Order: sequence, then structure tokens, then C-alpha cells
Amino acid sequence: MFRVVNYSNPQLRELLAGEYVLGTLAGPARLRFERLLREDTSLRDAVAKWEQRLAPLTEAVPPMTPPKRVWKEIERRVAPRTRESLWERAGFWRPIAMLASVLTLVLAVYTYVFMEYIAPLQPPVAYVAVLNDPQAQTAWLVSAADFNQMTVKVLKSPPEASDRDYELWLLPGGDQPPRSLGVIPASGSKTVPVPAELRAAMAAGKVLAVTIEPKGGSPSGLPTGPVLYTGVLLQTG
Amino acid sequence: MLSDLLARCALGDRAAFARLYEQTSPKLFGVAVRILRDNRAEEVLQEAFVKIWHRAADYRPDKGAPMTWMASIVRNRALDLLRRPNVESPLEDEDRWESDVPGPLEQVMRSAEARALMRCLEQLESTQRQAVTLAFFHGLAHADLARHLKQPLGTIKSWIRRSLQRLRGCLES
Repeated sequence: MFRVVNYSNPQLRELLAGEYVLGTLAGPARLRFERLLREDTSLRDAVAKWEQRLAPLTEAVPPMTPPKRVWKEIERRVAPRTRESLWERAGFWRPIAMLASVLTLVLAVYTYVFMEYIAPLQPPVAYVAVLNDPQAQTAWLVSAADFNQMTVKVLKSPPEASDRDYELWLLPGGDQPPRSLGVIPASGSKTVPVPAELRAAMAAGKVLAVTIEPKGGSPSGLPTGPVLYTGVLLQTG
Repeated sequence: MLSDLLARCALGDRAAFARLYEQTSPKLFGVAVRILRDNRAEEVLQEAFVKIWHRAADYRPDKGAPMTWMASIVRNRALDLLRRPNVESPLEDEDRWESDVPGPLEQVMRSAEARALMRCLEQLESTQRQAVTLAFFHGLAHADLARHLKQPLGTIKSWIRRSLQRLRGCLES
């Protein structure tokens, strides 16, 4: 059994990752491995590699249409509970919940940021969005006097910028797909015009998000990469 | 594209989520049914898709295809349920496994990656290949394999490890 497993032995880690993905680990060995996975990124990478290696086997599994009730139940479980559903949506609730729970801190940051970056800006700023990463660290600052154009200031440069671009999105809410506000450089600041057809959709309370996209921005006009930062557009005056 | 749909799920796009379900649920349901062989597969599919919706922003395209990511979520959930101690052991179904390994693998695996994996699987001895496929498709753990293939536990463990090492070596060559 695995009573004396030495998880620092790289060959053994690699094999355990393979066994985990293959499905042969059971009981305490599987639980222990999963516990370890949570805090060990290189082990997670080893698991991801094994998943890639063995994934083609799923091609051999004949598809089976699940009963309709399965989708009904999924829909019910992911359904927004209130009309302000955007707040509860996946991918957003975490940073937003954190944003709320550390409201005083955010206000302090906001005051600092306002004095430092916004106050000197002309014309006066009426809207601001503080975009945070999932650890609730402020990464981007979006400010605007009106919705004709917005200024994006990068406070914390995103990682791995060589072959990618960072694209800013507006989430109009409801069933509307995200709308691009353009590609933003990985550092410095940039003023982007808001497309005329988007101005009506801009309002305090809307969510902005930044995704990683191929060079030049999403080829399809819709986000394709992972979400890096999110934030809510707030009215300042 | 599935990665596009996943990205839109991360941004809260429910229509994209519905399309993602439409396009991937038959394959993923098949995966869950193979492992659980009863209506717990429905529960697994449900939980997996709820998780996919909530975790869509965590998907990293550089760590594998969207289907690989989603299938792993389904497989892990199915294995959790299969291994839950209070559920009666599916070992009574033992006889059904042999005939139920998806039929001639080379006919259904068409992608280049699948053909490469197939070539490598063929280099394993047939009993060892059987152990690998039983584990992957039906979630048989070391002890289940030992009972089913009538081999000592230690033999099964070394078969699996050797098979994994050989598969990795073969796929990387």
C-alpha cells in the first residue's frame, strides 16, 4: 500500500499522477493524493499531462444522450436567484464577493487611486471600475468622464505577454453576449473609444472583464481565453 | 469551438452554456455511464456541468483541450461516487466488464492523438492492456483489477506502473 509514499520522489509523483488519472487509486491513497493536489502546482501539471495523454481513450466511448431531466436540473441549479443575477454568476461571484467583504479596504484603495491617478485626469471622471484578479488584487483601473471613451490604466502588468493580447469586455447583462472594448497594452495606459452602439449599454453596475486573447484580439469578436480580471463600473459623482 | 463556449460561460453567458451542454453531454454521459452503470451517472453529469459552469474561468487552454478538461471533471466525480464506501460494490457486475470494453478500439479512435495512443497500447502485453483499459473505462481500482484478473495485488500494481511508464515513453518518442 502507500503507507510510506515519498511524495518528493519525482518518478513516483509522476507515476502516482498517472495512476490517479487512470483511476486505479482508491480509498486513502486517492484522498491523500487529492489533498496534495490542492497545494502542489507541479503535481497538478503532472496530472494535466496524464489527462492529455489518456484523453484520446474517451474517443472510444460511445456517446449516449442523457435524459432531458438532467439538463432541466442543471439549469435550475445554475439559475440566478434574483434579477441582479450578474452578481451571482460564475466566475464573478468570487472577486465580487471579496470586493464586497473588503469594502473598507477597497474604499481606501479607491481613495488612494483617486488622488493618485484620477484626480489629475482631465476632464473630471464620472465613472470608474477597479478590476481585480481572483485574489482581489487591483490590476487595472478603468475611468471615464462619459461613455464616449474610457481610459484604462494598468497598475499590475499581467504575466506572459509575449504572444498574447489583453482584451477588455463589457458584459451588458441579460442574455447579451460580451462586447469588446478593445485590446489593451500590458502596461502603461490607453484611452479607448467606446463604440457608438455600445454607449447605450454602458451604465453604473455593469461588469467589465479582461481576457487573454491571441495577438490582435479575439478573432471571433467574442472572448476565447481565460478571464484575468473583473470589476464593476461605479459612478463617482 | 468548445474553448470559445467555455470562455463565454466564464463571462456568465447562459446561452453558450446551453450550447456547450448540447455539444458535449452525450460523450460525457457515455463516460459516466461506463464507470457507474446506473442512474448515478445522471447525478454525475449534473454535478459536473454545474461545476463546469462555476469553474469555466479556471479552464486553461494551454493545459489541454476543453473536452479533456471536462471529461476529467466527469471522470473524477464518477470515481468519487463509485468509491463511496456506503454504496454497494459494483463487483457483482464483474462478468459484464469483459464484453463491455468499447468495441474494436482502432475503429472508433480516429484522431492522430488517438492513433498514437492506440499504437502505444498495442505494445503492451494483452493482459496489461486489459488492466489499463478496465481501469480507464470502468474505474477499476488496483484491488478490483486484482480480483477481476485473478492476480496478486502486487502484480497488478507493477503492471499498471510498468504500463504507464511504457505508454509515456512510447507517446514521447
